[in-house]
Amino acid sequence: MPNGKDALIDYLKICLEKEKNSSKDLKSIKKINNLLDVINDKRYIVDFKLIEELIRKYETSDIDSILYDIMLNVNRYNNYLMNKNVKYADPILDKDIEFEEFDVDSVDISDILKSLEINELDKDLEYDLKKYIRNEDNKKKLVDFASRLKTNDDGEVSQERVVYDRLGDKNNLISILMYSDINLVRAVINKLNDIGVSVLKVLNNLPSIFIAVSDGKAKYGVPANYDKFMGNIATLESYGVDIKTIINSCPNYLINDVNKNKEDLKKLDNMGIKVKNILENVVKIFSINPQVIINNIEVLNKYGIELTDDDNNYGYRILGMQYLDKKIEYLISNNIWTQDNNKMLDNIDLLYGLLIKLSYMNWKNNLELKKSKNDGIVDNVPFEEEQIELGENEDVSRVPKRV
Amino acid sequence: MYLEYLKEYNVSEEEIKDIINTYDNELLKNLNFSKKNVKEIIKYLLEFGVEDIYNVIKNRIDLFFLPLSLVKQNFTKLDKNMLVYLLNNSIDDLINYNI
Repeated sequence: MPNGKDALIDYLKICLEKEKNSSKDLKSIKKINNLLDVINDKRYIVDFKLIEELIRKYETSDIDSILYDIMLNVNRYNNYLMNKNVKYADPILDKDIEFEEFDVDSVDISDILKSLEINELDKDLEYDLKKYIRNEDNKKKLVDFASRLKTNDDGEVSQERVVYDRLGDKNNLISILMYSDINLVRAVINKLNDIGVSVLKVLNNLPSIFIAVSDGKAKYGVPANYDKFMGNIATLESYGVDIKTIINSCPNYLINDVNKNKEDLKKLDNMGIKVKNILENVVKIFSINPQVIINNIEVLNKYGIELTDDDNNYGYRILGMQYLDKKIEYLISNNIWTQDNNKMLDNIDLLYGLLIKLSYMNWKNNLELKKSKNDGIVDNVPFEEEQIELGENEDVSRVPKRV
Repeated sequence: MYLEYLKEYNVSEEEIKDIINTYDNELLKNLNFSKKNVKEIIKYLLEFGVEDIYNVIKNRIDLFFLPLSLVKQNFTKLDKNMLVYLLNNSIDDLINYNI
């Protein structure tokens, strides 16, 4: 690879496998994972000593030649970042990932794990926990926090107890105990209560919302999305968007970068589009690829299709289709959608109905479409002009009965 | 390392790299952080009839940030056979059914 990144990642993964199959040394596993994090985060590799240490540990012959190849890839990778004008190492952030040597085996976490009814942790986390609690203050803080999650100051079961009881992955519980505090957990639960959403809707799928960057506790490599969660909710409230709908359909939108989300919503605003309608209908696609929606608005403009302000307009959903333009072309070229046909109007609801029917016809004909295409278009599909019985409410989103 | 566990579900090394190159690193870190939830959803999808997990992650990674209960609820919106068909052949159409 010209930028050296993939070759480095592949080599480090091989080292990790070797370590896991041999001594399973926590420190070594942690060092390798740290380096992989650095590369995935597109940060400069500066710890050449570590690279050499790994090679000398895991290679038995031809060491100089392997060292040369790996260092060449490190240089290629760093050059690649420089060409991309990536800011040079941040001394404050880098201190966070500086590998601090300590005697891992001398730290005992068994009592903590037993008190939390945890049998085993991920190796990385085991290392982090040992590093954390070797400071007696930290150990006390962790134990106190765990206790306060279970019961409040009056000794009664707290509302935060749900986090303790229902977090399925105990690795996440340890991360929250190390990097969060009772006030943050309480703030999230209170916010969810205000919105009218159970904490169970986010607990196991977005555990990172209980950890903040703003309070300085979060560690490099640990997702910390409390600030994004709260910031994105505030943004959405300013647009009158129903937050409950967003959490129930696409909670990951709330952990996107706040400023990026604002920019994308501003683009919609500038196009004269009602943000509420977009988010309440296609947030799932908007959260992972907002450009699809923006491109499709332009596609519809091209065909003179209006987006109305009607809040119940299912037609907005088609904005989330990656291959909308291809499908429209298909409908037009097969004379299914035509300006001349007096049944066809230039409105989004009708187009939506036709696209639903297209997917239904593909299924009905049991057509094997190529997975790599994913666009749902097959040439010469018999698109029949047949009566399709809709559901009682004539909701086109329900599958028609086979006729 | 992110997403290595996907190999248990027949996602290849190349496909994992493709997913990593498609999505923002922060999003993938978050996916990794809720790994247990992700695995539960993958198992459910495979039992449901999805043939290619890579295809679903690549095109609809948002599904893996839902709690399993909501994924199941979403999947009751359509005839099961048609939904399996869409998941395996035309995932682009799912959004039209609010899935």
